[in-house]
Amino acid sequence: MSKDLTLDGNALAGVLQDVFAAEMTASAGCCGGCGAVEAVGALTVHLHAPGTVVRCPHCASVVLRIVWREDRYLLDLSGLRWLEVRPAR
Amino acid sequence: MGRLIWQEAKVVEVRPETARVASLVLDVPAWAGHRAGQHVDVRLTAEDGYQAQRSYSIASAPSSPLTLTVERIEDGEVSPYLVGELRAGDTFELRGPIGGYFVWDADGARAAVPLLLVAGGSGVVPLAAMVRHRVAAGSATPVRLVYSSRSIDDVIYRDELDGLAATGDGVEVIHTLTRSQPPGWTGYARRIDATLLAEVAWPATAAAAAFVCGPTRFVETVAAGLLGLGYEPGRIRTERFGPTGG
Amino acid sequence: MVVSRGFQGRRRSGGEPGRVPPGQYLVDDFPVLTAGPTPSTPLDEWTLTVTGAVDEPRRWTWGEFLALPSETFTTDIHCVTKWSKLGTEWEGVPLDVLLDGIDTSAEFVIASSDGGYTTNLPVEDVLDGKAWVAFSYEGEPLEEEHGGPARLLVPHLYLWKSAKWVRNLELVEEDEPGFWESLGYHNRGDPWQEERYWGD
Repeated sequence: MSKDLTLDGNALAGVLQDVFAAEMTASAGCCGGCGAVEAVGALTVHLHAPGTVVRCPHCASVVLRIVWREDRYLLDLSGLRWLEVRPAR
Repeated sequence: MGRLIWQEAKVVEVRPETARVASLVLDVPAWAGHRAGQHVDVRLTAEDGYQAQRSYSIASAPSSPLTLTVERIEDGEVSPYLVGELRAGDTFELRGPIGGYFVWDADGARAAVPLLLVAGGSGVVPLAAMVRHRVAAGSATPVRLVYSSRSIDDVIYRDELDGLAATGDGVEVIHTLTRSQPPGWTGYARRIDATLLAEVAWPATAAAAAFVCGPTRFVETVAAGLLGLGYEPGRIRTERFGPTGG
Repeated sequence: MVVSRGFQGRRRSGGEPGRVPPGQYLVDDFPVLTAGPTPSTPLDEWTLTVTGAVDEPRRWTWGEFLALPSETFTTDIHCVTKWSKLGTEWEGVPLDVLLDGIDTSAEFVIASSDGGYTTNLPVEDVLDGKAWVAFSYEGEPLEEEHGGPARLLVPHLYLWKSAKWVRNLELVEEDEPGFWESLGYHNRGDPWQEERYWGD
């Protein structure tokens, strides 16, 4: 059933670390739909859509979309009001 | 931290755990250490350059040699190689450690309260790393591991976990076997539900830190059950296991 | 490059070049790809509508939709994630029927679905026997995870254009990129030209 294909932000940890050069799953994001603040690790993730779709676990609105095109990422962050990034030290 | 780089891992030992599960003890020369609950990405390359990549949880405590535990998925592309073909001396690439949300540190804020770990099947792997870390670090944090498996033969790390529980040193292990039970079994014999959790989880007043790991449906049922017992959402951390291959 | 002794991986068969578009491999199963939770509208609440640049919007309830002329057909489907499945059998209502007699100057249609998914197509890509709203797969009612109760099916384009859980077709004069088209996927998506991403 498609419920079992739904994962969480932990499944994105490697990709996001590639993109942001920082561990992201413990960082918080604010949903542009409902304003809820959650750790990235707690967001709902649909991995293989033909891109990755990340949704707010509270209101299900799309907060992040990631497409991998051969050698680059295409990111849509417009569903987030803000996102924390803790730079590596 | 910073960007992850691929490193070469050499297999020191392949240790069978159950009929479908094996632990891989690895030697990664430049390994910088890890935290309990983190995972690695594993990449295999065939002779003609074909590559496949998957994520696996780290089973070992940070103070022990790096060990992954892998369940062989029927029809899988990578796991039947890792559990079945791979042997000591073989090499592959990995990168990590990865993760920062689903982690438990013996000296962190989450160590000052009791620890509740709820595992569904191979979801026990990152939670075992937490238990092993707690023991190796000499921590006094009381730990309860509630572990759901199909049958007694599917229980991973069974002797080790039961041995830890028997020392009376603050680690408790509660098994439930959902499909079949051995003769004389007096433990739980069903899928984890709200009633079972009410009987085995720390009460909400203990303000325990809860980590739940396993298939998506399992995680969602357990998380809902803990919320129903009064656990605060912020004290429940979840990791859903599922296919990570493309 | 670190080669792992004895690792083969899952080798995929490409099939005959005339039958299978470039870059695709064949599958026997029917992979489920989804951008969100599976929607589940009860059939007594389900409607399909045609709106937008039309004189009169159209609306069918589930019963009305099933009473429309439909056809059974066999076709190949191609996903932009590179899998192709040959000889799939469907039953559906042709868009020629749904749009029959409609008076419009619109050149584009935006399909939208339960759950918020959208995709855009030129009207000419959904007429003349090229598209259906399908409600049955392999002789059985279309399963939820594959878009049931009804999905758009436009087999000559990549499958992301075949919107699952379709509920509305909006005819518009100006093209508007849908869910994946707005994040770098190709606006038209012809598998035979390998139009996967914008700029291809």
